[in-house]
Amino acid sequence: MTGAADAITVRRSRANVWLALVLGALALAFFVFTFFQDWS
Amino acid sequence: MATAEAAHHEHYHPGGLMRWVTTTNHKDIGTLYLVFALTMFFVGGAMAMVIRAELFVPGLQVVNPHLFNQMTTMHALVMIFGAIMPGFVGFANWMIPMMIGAPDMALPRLNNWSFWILPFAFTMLLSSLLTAGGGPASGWTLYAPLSTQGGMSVDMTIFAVHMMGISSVLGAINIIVTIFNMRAPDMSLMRMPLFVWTWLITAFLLIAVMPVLAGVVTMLLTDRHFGTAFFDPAGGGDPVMFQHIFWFFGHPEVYILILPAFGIISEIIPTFSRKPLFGYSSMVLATAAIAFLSFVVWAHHMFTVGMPLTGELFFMYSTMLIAVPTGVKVFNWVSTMWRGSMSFETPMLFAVAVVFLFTIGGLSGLMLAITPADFQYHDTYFVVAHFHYVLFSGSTMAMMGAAYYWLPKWTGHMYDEKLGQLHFWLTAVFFNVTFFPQHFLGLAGMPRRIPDYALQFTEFNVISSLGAFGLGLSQILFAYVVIKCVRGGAKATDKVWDEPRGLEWTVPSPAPYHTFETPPASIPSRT
Repeated sequence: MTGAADAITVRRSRANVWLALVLGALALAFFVFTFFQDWS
Repeated sequence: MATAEAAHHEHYHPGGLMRWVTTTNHKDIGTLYLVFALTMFFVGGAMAMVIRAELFVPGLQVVNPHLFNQMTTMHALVMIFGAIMPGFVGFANWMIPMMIGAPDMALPRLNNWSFWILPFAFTMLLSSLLTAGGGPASGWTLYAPLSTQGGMSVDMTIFAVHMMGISSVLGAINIIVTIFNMRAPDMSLMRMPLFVWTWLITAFLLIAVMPVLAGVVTMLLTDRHFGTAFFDPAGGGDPVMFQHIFWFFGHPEVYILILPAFGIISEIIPTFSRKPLFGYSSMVLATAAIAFLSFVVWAHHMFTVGMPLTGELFFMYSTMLIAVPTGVKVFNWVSTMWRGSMSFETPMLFAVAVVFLFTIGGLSGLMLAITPADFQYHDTYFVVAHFHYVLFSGSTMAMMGAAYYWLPKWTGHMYDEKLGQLHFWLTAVFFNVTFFPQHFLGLAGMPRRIPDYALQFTEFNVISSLGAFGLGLSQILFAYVVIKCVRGGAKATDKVWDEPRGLEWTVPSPAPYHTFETPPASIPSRT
């Protein structure tokens, strides 16, 4: 693999993890919002 | 030492069982999901056979009412969370990377984990049947206060639902990240196959609503064991609130169960009509519109619970609005077939049947959306007929069509066309024999989830049960055709069909273990 291709792979896997974390945080927020809502 | 070195080598693959336990390959994980879904399809199907055996004639013959309730509850949970959802994830794992020119899913280890949660979740769920007092019997909706009063099987179900939810959310995250970050350079969003589009939208629905289900069952758990009173009027709570929160998850869930099927149909029909899909961008927009509307219609599941008139009107009209984007889709499928050079191999037979039969389910859905009419239909067999037309002849038959469509690409062998067509006709005929009479039973007032019925319902129930036994037996043929195709058969060409469109048909059959390690040089035209 060339250096440029390596750099693209690393950039892409970092972007993958960041996007996954954002989506995971979103899911967690929906759970927290449901459970800790003031339902009274 | 040599083995240890080999283990660290990037091309080392363990064999046997460990290959499947440790795999991070999207094709392996796709296969695992599909095998799991087919297994659960037979487990849930066996429960359906028990239900139909009990309802064969009036009176109580086969099971006691409590076990009957457990069977209806478990049949739904197993089919929805064990068969249909993992089935679609299996197709997504196999096809999305190949369709967008990616080497694998974006997060392969997460992918492995998403799958391997499921067998444990379902072992937990199914073993609850063996607990003292039996399995959950409150219906798959787990309505409070029935579920707040159940035995420890309800706690096991809650834990299983949490695990399924985690599996689904992780799978959805993986699919979104793969589609956003891993597409081949020329694969713009509006050039993606419809199956990829429908899954992208489905994945967002999953992330939005599975946590809501997790929230509501956690509230159930704390009501049962930790002194809260979310759903207990004695403590200031409200059981109707459970229904609102549950269906805020439940209705988008309905679209989670059908949108990938729409994507599959949108792949199969153009291939066998030898024409590009009619109205590609309107298909994408219609899918997005259905997903958006799915968040504002939930209370149509609970019209009879008592709501302000304004609420009933709002949910009635918003539900009817869904017919518009759905109608756009049906129009586009029919227009794709119009003047096409059509042929009717097994996948196309399933696809055409889905368009026809799903539309029947859509129309009965419109009838149920009319609030005053729903007061008559609610909790009757009309509802059971409606959602089986949507979930069996919609989702399940679409997956069967997809299996026949992509099996040659996966295995390198053509399936047995004669047996495939026989399976289709047996399924289509027995499905209608089973479920069409249930419309009449429901309109005449036969309630659902009751093991006995009044004598005047006997004839239609006998027909329905005979159809169900035939439908169940026909699926053994499906398993046989699939296994036969995996083990051998006529060699499939790389293109498999006459004029398929898309990147997956540019790789050899069977698809190599790794595909698109370098991005494809060009994207085939979809027009």
